[in-house]
Amino acid sequence: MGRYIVRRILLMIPVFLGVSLVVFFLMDLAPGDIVAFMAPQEATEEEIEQLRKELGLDGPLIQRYFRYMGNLLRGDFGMSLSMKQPVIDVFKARFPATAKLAFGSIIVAMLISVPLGIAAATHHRSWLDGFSMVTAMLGVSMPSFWLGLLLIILFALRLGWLPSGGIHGFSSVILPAITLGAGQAGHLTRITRSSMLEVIRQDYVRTARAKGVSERVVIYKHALKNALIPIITIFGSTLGNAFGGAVAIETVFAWPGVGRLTVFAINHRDIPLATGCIMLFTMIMTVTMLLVDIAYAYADPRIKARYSQ
Amino acid sequence: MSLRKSIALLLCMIMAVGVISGCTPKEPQQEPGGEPSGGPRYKEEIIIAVADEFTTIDPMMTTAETDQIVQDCTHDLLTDTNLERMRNEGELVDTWEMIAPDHWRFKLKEGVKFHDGTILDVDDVQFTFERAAQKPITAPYVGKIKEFIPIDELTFEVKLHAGDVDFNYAFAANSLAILSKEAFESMPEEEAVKIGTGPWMYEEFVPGDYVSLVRFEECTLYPVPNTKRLVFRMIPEASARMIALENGEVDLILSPNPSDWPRLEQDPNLQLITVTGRGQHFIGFNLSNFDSIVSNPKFRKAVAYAIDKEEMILAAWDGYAQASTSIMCRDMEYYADIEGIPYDPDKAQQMFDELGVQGLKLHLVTSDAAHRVKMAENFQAQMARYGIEVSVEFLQQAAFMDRLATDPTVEVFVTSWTPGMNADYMFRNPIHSKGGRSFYTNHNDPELDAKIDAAASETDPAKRAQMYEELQILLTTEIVNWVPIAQATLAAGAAKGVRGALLHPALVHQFKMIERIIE
Amino acid sequence: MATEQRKYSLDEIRAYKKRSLAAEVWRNYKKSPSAMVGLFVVLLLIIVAIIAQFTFDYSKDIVQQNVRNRLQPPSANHPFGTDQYGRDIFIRVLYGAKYSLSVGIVSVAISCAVGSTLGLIAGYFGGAVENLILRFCEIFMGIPSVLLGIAIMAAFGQSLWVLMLATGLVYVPMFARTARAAVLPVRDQEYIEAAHVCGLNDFQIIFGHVLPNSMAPIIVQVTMGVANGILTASHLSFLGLGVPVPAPEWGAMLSSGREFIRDYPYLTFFPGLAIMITVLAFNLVGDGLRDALDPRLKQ
Repeated sequence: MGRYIVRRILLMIPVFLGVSLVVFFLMDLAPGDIVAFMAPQEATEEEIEQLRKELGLDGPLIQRYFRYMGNLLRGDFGMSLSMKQPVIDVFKARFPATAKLAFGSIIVAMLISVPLGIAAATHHRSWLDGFSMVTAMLGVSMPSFWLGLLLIILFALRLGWLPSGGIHGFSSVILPAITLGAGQAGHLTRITRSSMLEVIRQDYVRTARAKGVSERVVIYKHALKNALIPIITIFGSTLGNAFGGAVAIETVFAWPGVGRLTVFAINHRDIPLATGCIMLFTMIMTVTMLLVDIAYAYADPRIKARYSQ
Repeated sequence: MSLRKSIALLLCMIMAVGVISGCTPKEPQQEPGGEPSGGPRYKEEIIIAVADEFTTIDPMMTTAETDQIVQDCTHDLLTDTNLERMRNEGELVDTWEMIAPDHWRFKLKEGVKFHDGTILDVDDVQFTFERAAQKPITAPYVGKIKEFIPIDELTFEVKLHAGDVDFNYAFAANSLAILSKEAFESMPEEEAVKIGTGPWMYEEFVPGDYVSLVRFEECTLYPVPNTKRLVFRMIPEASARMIALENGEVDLILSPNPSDWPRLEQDPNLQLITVTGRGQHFIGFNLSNFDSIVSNPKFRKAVAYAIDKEEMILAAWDGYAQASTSIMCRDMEYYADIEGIPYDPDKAQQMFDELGVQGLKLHLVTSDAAHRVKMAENFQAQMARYGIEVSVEFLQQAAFMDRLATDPTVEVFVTSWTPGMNADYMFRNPIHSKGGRSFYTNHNDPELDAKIDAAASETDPAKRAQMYEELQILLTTEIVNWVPIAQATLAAGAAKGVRGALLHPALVHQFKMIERIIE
Repeated sequence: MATEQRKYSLDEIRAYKKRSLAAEVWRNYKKSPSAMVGLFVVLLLIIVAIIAQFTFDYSKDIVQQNVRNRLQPPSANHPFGTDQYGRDIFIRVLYGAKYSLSVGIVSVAISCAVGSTLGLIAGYFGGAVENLILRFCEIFMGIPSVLLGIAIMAAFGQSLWVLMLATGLVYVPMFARTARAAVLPVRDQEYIEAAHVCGLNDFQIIFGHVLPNSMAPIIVQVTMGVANGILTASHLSFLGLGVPVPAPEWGAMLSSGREFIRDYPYLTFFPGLAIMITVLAFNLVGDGLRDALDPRLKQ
């Protein structure tokens, strides 16, 4: 197990290097000179060059990349050009909002998908099954920003029950979490249903039934416990989707998260901020997935055995 | 069967959501009421919703409007635009005198108190200029000064490298807000930059969310505000800002959607505050692109006749803009109300026919800012009516400016120019061939340069007015480097009872004295 | 009497096998009503896109403005109303089908071609090559897809082709992984070994023998990929990074109608509905295909 974790961590290094390279070079290809943009209209060429040097944006691309990576190894993500603050501080300030939205959306997704998936599996091939499957399909197919707009019109504008945006109080997280959760609920419902179906056909469930245990107990005590394991496995990737998929939702709901921040950074050619955000994003996602995998391995002895080989 | 039914059911539900959201009337909002009492009562906290991110309180680090709006509450300038009288007046400066065009004397107001309790004197001004000289953003502003001569506690003189009869305007640059020398000596830099002379003191900044200020109880330059706390909250979406205002979550919103303006006017709980912006939105030509027909003045003139500005205003600003007849902006000094080139589709068609441009293809570049996209889209539609096909390319703002400055194959572009109050600002940077970086029309004309220089250094106001009128006519109707379209109306929405919000035609709105009366 | 035994040529056998496989898939596919609904909608969309292309004049009906006739509510003349420039939303939505479909299809073609090739190579050769390709995939999967798409759009500029490319590249790793997973069980089969013995080169083996036998998951992935591609592209357009205006791309229409959401919600409602229906249809087809291609997966 220990070797497995070490291996996984070592494998992250090339991924981070690759991500930094890809983002850095893509940003360099993007037209637009942020330094000229930052300088006032009255500035002369020399003054712009001086500013460029001061910001550490002079020299050829390779040189800048190595300078950047050198600083990164010392834990320094550099300064954001547009925010005038260290990238790490800017990111840290926004991250809680994104985490809140991500977890909120996962809770919503669970609340929708687990009952729906169970209902579908236990009423296999009935209208309930069809209903949940079509609902799941709709969740997956609905453009999240559109759903967000519809929810705003209905709950914020017409009914006035919930705030339309911003991050102030619990009520403000409801609509964005539903919006983001709906898409994930689609995937999760299907997974819950199929893993539940599989478990229901297992021998021990059949045995429990044969012993005369009531259907409710069979489903909720025996089957559900086992059916939830695959759901937990995809928790990691769901969280990743929640972070990444939140960009448009953060825009629609004026949510001060890192997704919107990254788009802002890319659009403003703020290379240190954009690279830093995407790197940090990737790190958090990879580490979360690793933790989930480890936890999962510990929870399920079969998997633990496989890894220790 | 069950599946099909389910699909049908769900589609119906979606339709229903759409229909409900489209048709259900909105319940009137409850206004949080105050208890009745004698005399006006003021709301303790005012929240202003802004579109863009606040980034820094250090005036020398930024040229972004949102930063400057906040800094305007906390810091003051030597001279500033008086938004009620629309002219340049002293803010920290009491009086000034032009001894010669390259030699000016300024006298500061007496007893102006900084947030740290120290009193403003010439040392603070000198310190500010020295700091400004080291910062890339502010260096160009103080670059004009050859020598700074302190005379006494409150009086100083400056000698300039070159004569400038409008030098008092140079001090109205927001980046040159006066900082406290003592603060920088006793505190770390990031704390010291927060110390200004304004009626508001910096309190807290939560990135991506809000920045808050508290009133400066000992303010001497301005009366102490009736509001205790002032919060600028970032809400990027205009529609979200509007809803926040209607729900009573905020007291004032900047840049509401034009489609919400009628609602702001009609709602008894809300008000619409407007001012005509100083930004001149125009269609510009690259005059040095001799491979393109845009280098032909007759073609440019024909385009000017061809454009229905009123229609473009409707498309880009929902009608809330003032059509321009001159390339100069209306509220500037020495603006002359010239006739320009009126909309005349028949004449335009005739000129296009003479030029034989049927089936012509033009390429237009602009930035991705919403109103520019709309202007470009409408320009495309209008030109199609004359048989001219315009392809449009949208670029991110920095990329757009880069392109205009470096690409000689640019033909047509849509952008805007927001000058300061002084007339020379209008022409120097974008039109004078040696003026600066916004010289996107690439019109190299020594005669025109000489005219701009002559007008800038003329000391007789009457002669100067004459010269600027001639310049406007020459540029608008003969050279036609730009087709000026309009000056857009700028707006804010506020709750009833909000007073003291002054909109700035160049976007640095003032909230120094903002207050809200509760009935 | 000797029964006459007909000799089948190799080609005939191949044709028969092919037909019977396709026929069986189709027979399975037909059983699912939702899959049939999906297929019907997809075909309808394609027909609409083609007809719209020929019935409407782009410069007259689609982009020409009639600003003084703006923001008309839905009526007999304008079933979906008119937008802020007085353009008919119904016609624009119909015409816009072409953008979503072409972005979806071309981007999947890109990601399928690049991704499947990488996946086949990885799965077939194994070892260091496989490792390298998997790491490469991890890099691109490490960056959230919308952010990667935005970065690519920023780097190469805004146009329909870049949008297709960006959307396509984003899904390359997904195809690579699917293809690799599909190859693994095939790799060790005896007929592959036999092909080696016969002296076929790697290229011939991969595309002649490995690929056809691992097609099923890739085909499913393609259909789902079109749905994902359309969704991602509309996401980018919504963020202002997709097909430039005035082209009536649905995501862009939705985005530009957003400021009128209060009083004229139909500006955003109909394009959004169109996106949803299209994506839903492709997902239903993908689902049906998966079940039809591998009945064992069906539960």
